[in-house]
Amino acid sequence: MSRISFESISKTFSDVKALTGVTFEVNEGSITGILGPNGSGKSTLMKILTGLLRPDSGFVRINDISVITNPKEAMKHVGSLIEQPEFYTYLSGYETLEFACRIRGLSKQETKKEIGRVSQLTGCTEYLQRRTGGYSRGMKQRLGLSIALAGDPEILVLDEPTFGLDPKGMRELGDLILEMRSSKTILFSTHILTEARELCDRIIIMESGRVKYDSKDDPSVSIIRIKVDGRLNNIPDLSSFGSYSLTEDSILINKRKGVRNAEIISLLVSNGMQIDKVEDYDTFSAKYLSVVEKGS
Amino acid sequence: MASGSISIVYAHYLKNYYRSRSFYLMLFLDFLIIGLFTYFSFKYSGSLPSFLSRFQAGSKSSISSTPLIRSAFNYIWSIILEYLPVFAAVFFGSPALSSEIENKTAFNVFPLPVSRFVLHLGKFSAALTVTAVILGIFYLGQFFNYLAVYNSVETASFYLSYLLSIVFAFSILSITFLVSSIFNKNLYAYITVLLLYFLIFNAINILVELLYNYTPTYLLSNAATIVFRVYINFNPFAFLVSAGNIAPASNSTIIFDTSIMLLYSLVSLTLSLILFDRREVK
Repeated sequence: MSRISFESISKTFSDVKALTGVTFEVNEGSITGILGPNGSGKSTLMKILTGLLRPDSGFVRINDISVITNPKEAMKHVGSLIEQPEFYTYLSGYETLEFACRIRGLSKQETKKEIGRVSQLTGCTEYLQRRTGGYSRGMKQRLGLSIALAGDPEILVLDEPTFGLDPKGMRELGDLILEMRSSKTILFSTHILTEARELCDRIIIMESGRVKYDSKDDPSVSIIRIKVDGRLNNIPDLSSFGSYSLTEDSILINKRKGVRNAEIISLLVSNGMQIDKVEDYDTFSAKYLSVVEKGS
Repeated sequence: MASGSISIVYAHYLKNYYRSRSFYLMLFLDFLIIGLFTYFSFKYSGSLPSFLSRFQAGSKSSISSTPLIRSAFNYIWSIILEYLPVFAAVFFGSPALSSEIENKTAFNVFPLPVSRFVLHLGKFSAALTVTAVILGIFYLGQFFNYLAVYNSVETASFYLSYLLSIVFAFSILSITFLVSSIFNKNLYAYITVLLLYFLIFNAINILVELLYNYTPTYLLSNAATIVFRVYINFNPFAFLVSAGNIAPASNSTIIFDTSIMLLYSLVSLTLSLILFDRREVK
């Protein structure tokens, strides 16, 4: 079942086209990462999804509820962390979380329990009673994440959630996201490639406001580059391993899922070729770099 | 459900307001003004009859009348109430909506399952409450001074003046919320409200009086003078036309000026609700 759907979303700021015809769906119980360089349209898309911006054209739906015409109803299903969160400085972290819980319809008793639960998950319990005006970047990020989790919404929208966190915090957040994989639909944006690779079931790469790559449509898992010593003669048919192309001294193979490097190399060796070097490229890394390089 | 959400939003913003530096600054101003007025009340309350005699020509009442002297005492105290709600509204209302954008709090508040309408009304009610508290403290100062000087209290026009000052605070806050819903920067909202009230309204007033020889009663700054004119119907800001008389303002004047203030509130609040609802957060 599709939880989030974007249909032909376009958005322009003055003369700049931030998004152009963005269309994709996010299915239930998946972790989808939106990857892209700064200015690629990731945050704009997240803001449209959470009702902070309105698209010039297109539709956004959460559980088949339009975010544009019925944002309040749609947001009942969503917890979000957009950009670097800021809070009312005269209120404590506890009061800030309390507000989010009460708005989500929790009773006072339930709110107390829920604050205990989410603050434990995000590790912000110890400074919850302090006013948010004195919070560090990392503390704010953890509190923002607590607000996103408050009320246990089935969908999480996280815009660069690890921003401001130290390496330990990043690891903890990664583990938390993976823990929630079975029970939630998660859409998050990042420009950190390794983060996306480690956490996501699916990666969408955006550039100049367009979806340039969707791992859902790409059956291959990785690219292998085999540098051959000598001339590229007598190349056997490698199509059973995936699509391939030749350069002056190398073979680039877009490997199909389950293909092992050893199988390819043994076939080449059995055809009398001498292997100089084998390099593995993650598909996402390769795709991402090619998108970014084209864009720059 | 909506009323439940409004009360949650109201309580949340009220807490943030009464802990803010703006609130304590207004409180300090409040006590400073009360202190000054208390000092002048005790020093010059005996001079009130001679002060009133300057307006004897236009008055139907006798200047020796005790109720009139007492009204004049309250009138002088209440003059400040044309300004106090304006400053309170500027402090509490001007950054109310623009700060959501400037301070980026909108990023975690707007995506919550609560309508902007409820957020706006909750915040507006909280701002009105703290403004009413500031005004209430001033009226208490006025009340106790009156009691100390005259050993008794006449409450009717006193309560009416407080009620009208709340109506005025309501209208000026509506305007500040409207201005705040337009800008992304708090500073622009502060400056615009102050310019609008103290410069533009006054400029229009002066121009209309000079060109057409009548007081534009439809201006909020003129309607607001009813807060102190309920004691004595004398308008110190009208300089070309009749300055009024020293009898209390009539019921029709009170109703008219209240209607003007409510009209400003209705238009401003409606517009600011529409703008806030459509507000995008880039």
